Amino acid sequence: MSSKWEPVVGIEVHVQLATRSKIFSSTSVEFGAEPNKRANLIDVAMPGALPVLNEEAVTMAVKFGLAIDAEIAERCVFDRKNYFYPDLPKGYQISQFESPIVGRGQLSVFREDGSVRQIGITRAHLEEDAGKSVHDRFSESTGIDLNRAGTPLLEIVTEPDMRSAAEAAACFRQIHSLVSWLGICDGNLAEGSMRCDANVSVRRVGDTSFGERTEIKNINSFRFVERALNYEIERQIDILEAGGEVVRETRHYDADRDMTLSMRSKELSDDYRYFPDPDLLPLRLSSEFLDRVRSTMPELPQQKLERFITDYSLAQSVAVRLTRDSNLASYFESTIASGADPHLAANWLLGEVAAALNREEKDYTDTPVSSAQLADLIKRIQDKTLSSTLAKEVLELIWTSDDSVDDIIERQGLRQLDDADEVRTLVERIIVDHPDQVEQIRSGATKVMGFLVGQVMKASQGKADPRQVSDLLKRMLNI
Amino acid sequence: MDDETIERLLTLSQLSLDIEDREKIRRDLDAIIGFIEIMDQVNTEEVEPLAHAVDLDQPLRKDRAVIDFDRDVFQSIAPKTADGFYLVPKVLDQN
Repeated sequence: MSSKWEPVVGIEVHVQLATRSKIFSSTSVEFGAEPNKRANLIDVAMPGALPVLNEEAVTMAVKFGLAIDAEIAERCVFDRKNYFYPDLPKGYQISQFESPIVGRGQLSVFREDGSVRQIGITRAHLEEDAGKSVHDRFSESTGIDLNRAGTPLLEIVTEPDMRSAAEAAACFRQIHSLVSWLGICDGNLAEGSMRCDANVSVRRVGDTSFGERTEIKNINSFRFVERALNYEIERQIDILEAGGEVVRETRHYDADRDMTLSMRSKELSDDYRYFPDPDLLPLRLSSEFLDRVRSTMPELPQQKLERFITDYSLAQSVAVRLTRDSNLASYFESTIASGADPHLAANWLLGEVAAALNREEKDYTDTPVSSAQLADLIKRIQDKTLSSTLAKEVLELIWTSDDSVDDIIERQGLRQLDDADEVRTLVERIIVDHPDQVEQIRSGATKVMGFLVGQVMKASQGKADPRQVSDLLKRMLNI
Repeated sequence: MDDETIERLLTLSQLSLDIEDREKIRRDLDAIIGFIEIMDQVNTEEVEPLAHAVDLDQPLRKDRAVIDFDRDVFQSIAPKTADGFYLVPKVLDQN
């Protein structure tokens, strides 16, 4: 990207709230039902059917508001957003326009390196989802499935605070992590539980006003947010550098071709003629209600992160990774509660355990190894019964069995060699057996050292402590 | 009300009217807007906008899911259905 230009990005995230029933009807919101088997009188807009607001959807919106330290509206109003589309059976979407439930707040977005950036949240409002149009199944018609119609959504709108595609992707990721943490969304991007729109413009570095922006609709993965925005930023810079003007429009990201395309622009599409829905009364939130919700709030990622740093003296970047997922964070805490060293626990959870879960496409809620087992394993590293190499072997074994760590160590004879004489004998033998390598090391090729350590480890069947072996080798070779 | 505004309203409400009906609706709308303009003369500076004619608060429903309906009953009154879908004239995919 040319350094003369600065991108400006704001995002809107639609979060499907994890209620049991729809926002204005008692129909179940379960995913994957047969078409229209989850579309009741209210959802198909039968004349006379009246909406009644779901308390849990309100509670979840308030939880999000509290988590970002936002103003929660004492009184808010539901409006009709009018437009015609076949998967919107009423001819309007019930949404909130002038008085959203959640006002201005702040979101802490963590970068990979652990540094933090505050992103302003403009607002978050409650609304209902539309149904789905199926265009490719019938040759002469479009099929309408209203199962999704009326699913509660929280639309979160950020300030144009982001200055790169990566930052926007990180913000989307942070919102995903926070709503999952709060338990208000299942976070399943593949099933459309979260959808992201992005507003993007570019301006000359140093300019204070914004350039003309485009909106990119419906980006459904973290990776695509970054790719779509990078493409769009480059496209706008190319236009401006060629002396052209960016046209304000809605664009769609085509992941297969990795480019954004202009959507058919409808001149009047922005005229939604919002007005308060006469079928719904204003929603008033009492301080008792807010206190009740506040009392059910979990410790927030940010609070936990700070506590991890203070209590366990973890590095910021490690604490950030541990608090990205509430299940991981609680796994970590119970491992420590079972007596494991915090640093080793963090290393093992983010290293070996994460890799194994990844291989099996599992998450921290269904680890085959309990936190108590992991703590036992770590304790055996702490007391030097196991080297890290041996510990990896034991982890593999407890992964597939319920046996205790100590039983496995005994049965498989995996105890680390703690007999210094025995290790010394092995090292001496390897030195004698590899005169060429010894010569290379002595003439400065210290990298060959790793080879000799490996040979000793092999001869000990992995039971020697590699650090001890390395020290011994250095001492015996006088380097 | 000028032609342009009438045209815009027709587009937004997905209606098409012949000249005669257009004139009729123009007269109606002019009368309605004239009526509203009378209200505009009232000073409402100190008055909070009203979101609903009834001064009550929204009651909330407990989050209990029930499935107590028969899709076939709804589909029997729909003009066209297939495989559980409601069918409408082909809509061009906006993408």
